[in-house]
Amino acid sequence: MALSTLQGALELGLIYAILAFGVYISFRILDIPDLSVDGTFITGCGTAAIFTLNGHPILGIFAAAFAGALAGALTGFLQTKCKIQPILSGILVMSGLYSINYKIMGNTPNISLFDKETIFTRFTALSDSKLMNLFLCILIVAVTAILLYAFLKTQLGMCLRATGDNEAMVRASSVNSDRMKLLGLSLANGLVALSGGILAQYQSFADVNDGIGKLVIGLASIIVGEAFFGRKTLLRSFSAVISGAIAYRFLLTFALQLGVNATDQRLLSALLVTLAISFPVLKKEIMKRRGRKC
Amino acid sequence: MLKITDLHVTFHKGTIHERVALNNVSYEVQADDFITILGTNGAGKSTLLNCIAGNIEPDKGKIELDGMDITWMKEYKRAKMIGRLFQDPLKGTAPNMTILENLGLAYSRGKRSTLSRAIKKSDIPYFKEQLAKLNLGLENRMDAKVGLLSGGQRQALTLMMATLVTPKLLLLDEHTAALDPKTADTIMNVTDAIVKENHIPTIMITHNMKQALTYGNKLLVMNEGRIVKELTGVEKQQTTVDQLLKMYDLAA
Repeated sequence: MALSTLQGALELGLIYAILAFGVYISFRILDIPDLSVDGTFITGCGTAAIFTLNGHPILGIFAAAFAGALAGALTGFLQTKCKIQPILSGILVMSGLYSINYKIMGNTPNISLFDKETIFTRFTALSDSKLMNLFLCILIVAVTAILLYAFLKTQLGMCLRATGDNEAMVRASSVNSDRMKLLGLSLANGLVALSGGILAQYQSFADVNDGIGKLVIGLASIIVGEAFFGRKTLLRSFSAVISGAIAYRFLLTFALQLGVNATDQRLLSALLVTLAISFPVLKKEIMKRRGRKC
Repeated sequence: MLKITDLHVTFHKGTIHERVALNNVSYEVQADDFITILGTNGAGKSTLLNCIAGNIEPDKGKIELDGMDITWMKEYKRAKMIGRLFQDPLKGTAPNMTILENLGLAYSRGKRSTLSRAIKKSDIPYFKEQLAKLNLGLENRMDAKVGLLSGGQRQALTLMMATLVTPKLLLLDEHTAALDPKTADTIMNVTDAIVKENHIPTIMITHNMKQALTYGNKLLVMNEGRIVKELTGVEKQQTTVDQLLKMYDLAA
């Protein structure tokens, strides 16, 4: 495998690590199956693309995160105030976002940012090194991870974690658990959209149909990473999210190199997540049967 | 202290299953009261506590705490003033968080959640000192996840958390019923000690008649949504379990 391919996989892995952080917040911390991710990722892509097209790549990144957070807040609102089941809330928002994303992108299904100035072209202009793209990805992930870690260690962050753990107890501690869910889902989808925005600028391209399967990518990353680091402490979970996103991207790159069709990627991801989640059950069943034979 | 006026609750109103859970209950809890409540299943004990805590909204009536009308106040808002324990020891603590984090959360009760540090180092000695009172050695396991503790330990911790910031009122809903007799005794003794030390007005539901007679200064018997008997002082001390059993069927 060419070194540039590996570097590309590493860069993509880091960009998707931010998506994985978002999914980690909804699925692991809040324990809410939030399906709006497939929509908000593209909201981020589209928002960042439009800003970039108009010459504001850096502002575009922040706008992407903000737009995602807004969509996440809507999911939270549907869940807590309208009492719609979490899964359905996510599906409704994801589905509705498709039309909104189309509008954000100026009623076109895709935007090319070829020859436009992006955060990546600006950063690479600073030096001749070929590693500049990678450095920028590392920088973004490091800043995001540190800020997020610090936030989860604050009082507010602790309330957020407790909400996913025991909601009744959080209310008994005089914390408005609905507000915590709203905050958590905003944060989660803000991160997802941030990841989308960075990706759009990285590949100089945004496609309104590209969202399907992003949630599975996030989940797969978390599961792969947790196989190595577990989730005993917050630090371990964070290591798992980042390393998992990178490892998963390498896995995909490797599969593509072996001649697996690019359109089969999503099937592979789905299979991987299915296997990983059902593995403990399968293992237990096999052990039980073996035990009976002896 | 706590004043309940004409509290009325109907379940499944307007259906064939309509049932009056609380029938115009009025009662006043005094500042130094430790009240135990007995009654058959469905007598309205838990409904009364749920109304006070804010899980259930009454059809009509009024609940005042320290002169403030809390009848329609949101549950999480009254939680600033009211501590509560349930029968299920798993209900009061967050299993995937450490003992220290659980205590930190309980200690911030009534304050706004901010972006300041979740656990202040200066609070840790106070937490340890409080935990030591439970005599379970939890003060040496502050970084253990709460899910690793036994039911009794978790209930003891919940009790500590509910009273870490002294509440204006403590509600105990059969909080020892799921524990083995020995642990139940320990928890009950600790409860009594904490309540006495901090002068917390307390209402305790129980099915254990001995417990109801031993602890507290007043005993209420509920039946069919009403308070049918109130025992205080000497009368309560001289009542036997057999006599108590007969009161269960008293009509309102």
